[in-house]
Amino acid sequence: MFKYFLGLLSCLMLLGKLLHAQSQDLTALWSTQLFEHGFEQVHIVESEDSLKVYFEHRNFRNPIHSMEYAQRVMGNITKKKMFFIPLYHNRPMGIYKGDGTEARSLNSAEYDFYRSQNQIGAYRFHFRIVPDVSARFGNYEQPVRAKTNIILDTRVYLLPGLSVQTGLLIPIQNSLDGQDLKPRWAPSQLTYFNHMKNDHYAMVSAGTYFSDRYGIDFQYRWAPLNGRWSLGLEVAFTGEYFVQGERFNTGPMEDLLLLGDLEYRTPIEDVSIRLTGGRFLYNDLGARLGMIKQFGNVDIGLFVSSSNNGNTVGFQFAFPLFPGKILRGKKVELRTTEEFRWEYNYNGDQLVNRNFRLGMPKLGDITRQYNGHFIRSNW
Amino acid sequence: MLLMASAGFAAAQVNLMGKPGLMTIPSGAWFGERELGFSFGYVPQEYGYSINAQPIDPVTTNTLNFYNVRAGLTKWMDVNFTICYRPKRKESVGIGDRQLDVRFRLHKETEKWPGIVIGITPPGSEAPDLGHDYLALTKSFETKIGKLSFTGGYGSPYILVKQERLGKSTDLRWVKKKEYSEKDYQYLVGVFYGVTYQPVDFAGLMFEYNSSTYNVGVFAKVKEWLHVQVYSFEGKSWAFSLAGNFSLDFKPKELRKYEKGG
Repeated sequence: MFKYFLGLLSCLMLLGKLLHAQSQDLTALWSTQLFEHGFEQVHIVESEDSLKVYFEHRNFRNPIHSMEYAQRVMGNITKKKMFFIPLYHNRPMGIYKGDGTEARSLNSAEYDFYRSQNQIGAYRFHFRIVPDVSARFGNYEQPVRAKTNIILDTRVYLLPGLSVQTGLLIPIQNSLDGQDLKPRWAPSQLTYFNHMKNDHYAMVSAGTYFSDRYGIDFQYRWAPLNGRWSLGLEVAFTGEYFVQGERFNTGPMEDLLLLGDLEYRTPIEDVSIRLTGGRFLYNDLGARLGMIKQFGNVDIGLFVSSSNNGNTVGFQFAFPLFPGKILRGKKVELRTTEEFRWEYNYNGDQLVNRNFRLGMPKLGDITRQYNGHFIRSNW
Repeated sequence: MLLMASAGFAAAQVNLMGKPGLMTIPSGAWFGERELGFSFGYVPQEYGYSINAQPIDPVTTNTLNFYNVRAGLTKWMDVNFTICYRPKRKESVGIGDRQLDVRFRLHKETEKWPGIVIGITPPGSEAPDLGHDYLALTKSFETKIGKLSFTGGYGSPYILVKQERLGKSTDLRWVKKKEYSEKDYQYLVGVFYGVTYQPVDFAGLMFEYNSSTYNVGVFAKVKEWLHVQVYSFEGKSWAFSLAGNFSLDFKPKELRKYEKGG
């Protein structure tokens, strides 16, 4: 009798082992498949009734698209509940149910798991094509004075949440200022991003930025995943730089930007309202009221601004550049930028409430895309 | 289903400044999908003065090229940006007049009631040459011989002008449009109206009065996203417009390709 029992037990153990191995094989297979489709930092946790998939997909602006893509790649082969944990700049942003009905912050166990699995080497080398266009309208002799550059840049992760972005800037044409058309360094920064628990985010960067600026920038944001209100703070200490031929001229780093903002996500069709106030570039005290509509891939915004320097209205938009992925290998990927952002000021004569672009989106533009209300209503 | 399809089609028609409308007049129509629009409108030199408040002498330099972008932000608000370029006067006026305005839908068209839209130009411009504020109503009817759509509206005879250059935009004053303009400017000043007749799904005829001129024209849907119209100002000069309308709710190419079975 005892013999039979032992035999049965060992049979069961063998079966269990087999099943376990099978599920391990399956998660390994999924990881490989996801990686082949552009997902990076893929970690899968399987429990009795659920499947949690951590990943970063740098090509898509809209996390709904990357989650939908992951779901399609993995197929509907499991009866377990699916959860996705999309990462941004090596940090988990939130946990979303696979049907888009639930969104919440990660719990400690989920954070700890990610921390233990996070492999800084688990990224491809991304080479990104980013157009850089500045224009002024209204000049009589030349209706449009513009400067167009193409940037080929890359971002390399050094430590959790820490990366360096650098690249080459190739001028195409310039009728805006006297700068020559020799290739030069693209805006290059060292960036540290952290998503602390309880909906606090911070980003610090140092280096060269767009609009010929260099210096340091610090941003903090409180943005509850399922909240409609969010608060932000930005402090930047910058100066201007100019590259001409072999010369690299820098102005003094003495321009202090100090801004606070309050944003409210209205219940109306993914429209958010944001009030920003403080000290903008060029020692300009002012306030700006904007509305931003999220279409998913595309954002369109309108704003009115008032400051010491004058008043203006304008619009801005952001969209991913077509076609996205161009080449993808195991180690290297060539793609177009996931976000091209541009702003137009009606008042071109005065510098009213000016800010600058960093080289990656600012915190408020990132967290807005991961908000639970946005995900649930657009899934 | 057919009714919805044809209603959606009629609504994809824009005027010379890229707003839902007929040839030069705006209408009370509202686009559901295809939130982003790019359009081009050509106005012959003889009628440039009738559309842009500031005519330039001689008349042969008054050809207008309108470049427009339209974005539907919500189901009741959209925004339009227009550049009015004068190709024959570029050295003296540059890129031309720029115009940013918003439209609000006050009422959605129903079986009994027309669609009602109000268009507003935010004040603050030093030279609001293209500024116009209006109310427009549009009602469509399905008949046995095709679809008929009637538009009527009223354009404000007054305009808000910034009092002095570089002044604060609080220094605004109402000016009569006729006084603001050098010539007797009438476009969208007072009552305007128009009618569209669409015997087939892909083309139609238009007639309108824009409170300045009577115009007639034809339009056609060349592609699902592309509309073309050719019309005549008072039967004397020809004008045309091209309009492309696109959805902003699109998926990345890589995902679309995979969904197709790549």
